[in-house]
Amino acid sequence: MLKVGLPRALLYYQYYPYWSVFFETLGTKVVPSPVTNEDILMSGVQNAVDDCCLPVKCYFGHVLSLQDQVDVLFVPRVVCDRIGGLQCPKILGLPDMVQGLWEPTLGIQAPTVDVRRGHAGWEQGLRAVGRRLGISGATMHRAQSNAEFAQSFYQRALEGGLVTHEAYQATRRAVGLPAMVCRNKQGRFAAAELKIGVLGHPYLIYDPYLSQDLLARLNSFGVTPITAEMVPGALVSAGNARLVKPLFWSLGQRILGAAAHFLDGHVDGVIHLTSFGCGPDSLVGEMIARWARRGKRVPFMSLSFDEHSGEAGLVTRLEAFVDMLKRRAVR
Amino acid sequence: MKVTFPRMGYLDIPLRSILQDLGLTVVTPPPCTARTVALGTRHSPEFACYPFKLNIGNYLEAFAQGADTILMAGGSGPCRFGYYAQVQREILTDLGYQFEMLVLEPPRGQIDVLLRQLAKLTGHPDLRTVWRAFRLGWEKINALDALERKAMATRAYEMQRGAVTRLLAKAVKEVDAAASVLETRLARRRGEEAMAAMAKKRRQALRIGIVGEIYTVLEPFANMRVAERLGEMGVEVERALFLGDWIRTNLFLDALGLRRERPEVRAARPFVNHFVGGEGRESVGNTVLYSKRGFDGVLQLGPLTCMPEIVAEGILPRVSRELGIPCMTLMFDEHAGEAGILTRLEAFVELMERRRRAKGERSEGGKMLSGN
Repeated sequence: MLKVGLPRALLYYQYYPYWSVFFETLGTKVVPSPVTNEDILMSGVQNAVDDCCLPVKCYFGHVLSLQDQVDVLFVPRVVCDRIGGLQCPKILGLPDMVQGLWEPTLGIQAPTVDVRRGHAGWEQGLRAVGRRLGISGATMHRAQSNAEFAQSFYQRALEGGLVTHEAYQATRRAVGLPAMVCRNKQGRFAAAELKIGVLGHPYLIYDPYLSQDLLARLNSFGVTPITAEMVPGALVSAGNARLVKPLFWSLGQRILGAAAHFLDGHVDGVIHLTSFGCGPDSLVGEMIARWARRGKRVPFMSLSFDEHSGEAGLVTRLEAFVDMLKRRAVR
Repeated sequence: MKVTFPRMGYLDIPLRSILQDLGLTVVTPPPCTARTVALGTRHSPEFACYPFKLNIGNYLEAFAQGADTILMAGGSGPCRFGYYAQVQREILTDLGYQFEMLVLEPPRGQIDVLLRQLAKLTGHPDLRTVWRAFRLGWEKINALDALERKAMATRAYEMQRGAVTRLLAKAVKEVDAAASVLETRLARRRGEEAMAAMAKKRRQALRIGIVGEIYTVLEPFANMRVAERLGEMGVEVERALFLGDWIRTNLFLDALGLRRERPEVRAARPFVNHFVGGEGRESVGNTVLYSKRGFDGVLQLGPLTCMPEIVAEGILPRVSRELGIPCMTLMFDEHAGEAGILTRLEAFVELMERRRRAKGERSEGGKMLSGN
């Protein structure tokens, strides 16, 4: 069976249901790279440009970890996946940057996804890939409708408070695919008295290695983490409407919109996770920090992650932040 | 109302000329110094790119001289520059300044929007005044570009160190003082002729092409005057980016919907076949073009963490390998040290020299063989 490799990094954390359901319905075997570990990150760090941000270095490691294990590597060029929202330059240039790391037998499939240009969204992009793999039109049509259904089901499940893994399993059940064994389980978080809004790019906060399991840690401290993906889209848009000029990064829009909602007092504290070397984070984080300082309602903390982040430092800061929130709650 | 704007290379000269001719009072920020950097970094996000910080420094120094209105460009991403003005406005507001920020967003094929924005700023002057102001500003941009081009091409051959830099400074001052298109043209010709007439060393200097992010390439303070230093090391420098070319493609042709595929975009195609924001794709394409023209090396400049230039930096090693042209990347921020930059430049020049010598020996050897 044809094996399609999906590097488990960057937009994987948003589009995994879409991609995996599409390729599985086509009858190919989907091979995601393992959950990020030290070896993967280190090989990424060694093979990417020094100046790159942490998530892109991590992506390089995932691409390399799939070496000789798959027939096709899926590295889509996601330019614009929503009208009015662009991805960052490094995601735009991703297929060009990974070129030369290694070449699978059937090549790197890098469809361009740009909804601004006619209809060349996911549908067109994936259809081109299917054609190149010699898939019949009818199968492709079914795969696409399955994939679309899966993605919207997944997004609703996330907004309903499920965490990535559980939302994904529910999605698979809904589409009629067998459940997947996954070693890294992040179930539904136990409800706790404190709620903390956790902001950041999905590929950082949902990657348990890069974020050092921050979501589960918070939960173990008696906190319910709420991510931007769990905030309903209408509230995110309302938050963004406060900007003089709308932001042009789609991931940043979600983060800023959710931040505005959180800082209105819907959570007890807000944590912004940033990646070292991330361009959009530097400006988006500055906006959030200023809003928080002006609002004076919700305590705010920013955490920067890089390949040298130590666990002890993170735990100390998290504990101090949570303790402070607990004292505030008592008062 | 006193208008200011961020500095970028010689941009302040044509911009002040245009704004003053439109009847505005202008406060040009003083040239960037260590103080500008200190002010900018103190109030900017730590991981913002270098131009952001220098802009903030420029605004604060201009505010100290009485400016109360900022003229800034916008953008539609995905490079951070497009959102600079929005975050800068928040920072200056939180610092307690009373000011207005006018952001010229790229018109995207709507030239009327650009004109309306300008009318709002200038209080509807008559069209003749507007035309004249822009005509003179445009002439100054072209003159300054030509003078800089000439200086970079001739500096490697100067007999007396600093001679070209002095001639350039004198000509730039004359262009700045010129009150009409004719005066500007004369100043430009005088400057070009003075550089051409200068006593010259007889030799074939190394040739290097400079590519990269526009601000870092254009602003000598942000790139530690690399073009000048290379010239003084005896290297002929050509730059891929000039203000005039940039305005021509990104403002005029784009606004009129006439933007065609430029040669650097076509040249980049085998390596990067999509826009990646900023000048990322152009940096790759221009490297290919310099290689085809037989340049000895390419120097890529950008601010640290610059997203489009990092994409290019990741692709350039492949270009370098496949086309056999040495490439070096220098990324700048407030921590960049002069000694480190100089050492790297010297090493790169030496590498290019050795390659040229090796090539020369090989071709001489070839001649001898054919002679036998």
